[in-house]
Amino acid sequence: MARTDAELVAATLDGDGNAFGDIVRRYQQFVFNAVYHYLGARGDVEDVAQEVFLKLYRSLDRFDRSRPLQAWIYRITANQCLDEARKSRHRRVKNFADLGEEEEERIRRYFDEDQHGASLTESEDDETLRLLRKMMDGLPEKDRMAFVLREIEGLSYAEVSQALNTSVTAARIRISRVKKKLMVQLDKILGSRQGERP
Amino acid sequence: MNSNHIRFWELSSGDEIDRQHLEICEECRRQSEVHRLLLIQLSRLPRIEAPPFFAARVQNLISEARPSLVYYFQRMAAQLAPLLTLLILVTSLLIHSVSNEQSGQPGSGGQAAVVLDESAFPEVSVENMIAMPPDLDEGSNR
Repeated sequence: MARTDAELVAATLDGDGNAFGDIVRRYQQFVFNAVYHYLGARGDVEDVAQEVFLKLYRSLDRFDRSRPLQAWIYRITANQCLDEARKSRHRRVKNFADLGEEEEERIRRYFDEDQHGASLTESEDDETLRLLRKMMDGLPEKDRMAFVLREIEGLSYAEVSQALNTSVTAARIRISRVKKKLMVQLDKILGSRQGERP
Repeated sequence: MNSNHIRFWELSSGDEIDRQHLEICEECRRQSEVHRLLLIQLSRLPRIEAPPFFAARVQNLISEARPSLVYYFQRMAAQLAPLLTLLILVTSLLIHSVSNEQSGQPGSGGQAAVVLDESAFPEVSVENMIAMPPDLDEGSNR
């Protein structure tokens, strides 16, 4: 029978290395995808995820075992992503400049209703994510993190607020701000597509 | 701008949309479509798998960095510290009460009474100190 998170934490603190391996296996999918969707590229995902679990291990003796472990992991993941964003701020500003005409055309194609049923290739999917990430550019990092955790990873507002160490209301505002910006950009792009139609 | 427009960006899954308003408001119908497309696209974002042996790799990194015996001794000491403190406190109280019982007069402080009694040390009385020869003071100033 699978051990609970609390049992795995206790066993890890007692020196059971396999118990921590079980924690990693239990949460690695969440961490990998949250990091990937936040960073918008596959490149550094594994390194960042690795750092998340190392930090988790080092902080386990400070972890309040009366609270859920997953909330602690969400917070470490969010903090690590925000750290990475700070480190690469300069590089990102260069990479995520304003959308060009060519990219707007690509977005039009991805959001074209005719394509909803079609399955995209992995590189096309990556491209979609990159463009979405680019559309969110200019927004505060915490807004983006909140959006990814809620709208892509499916966390509740309460979980997002815990991960970002903020109130539920503040988390809601952050998420709404990103959604609004994405909708405004999409509306602009899709609107121009309709204008082009004969 | 109509302030009654539906604020789609504030909606959560399961929230009710004002259908009547949608029927009469073209702007909101357009926003509804944009919102729908956005949600579809978000649900289609790719998901990635952690590479095989990722957990094993993390475990290896941890075991390399772990200060094995020292770490566990420190943890054990930290856990036992309150108990040890209590034990020391109880032992010292016991020793104190036993020694008081042996002296026969618990709390009377026989030795303290000797120290406070000036007659036991007549040479260091206040009067003697005032009457101290002046050459002693001069000698100390040189």
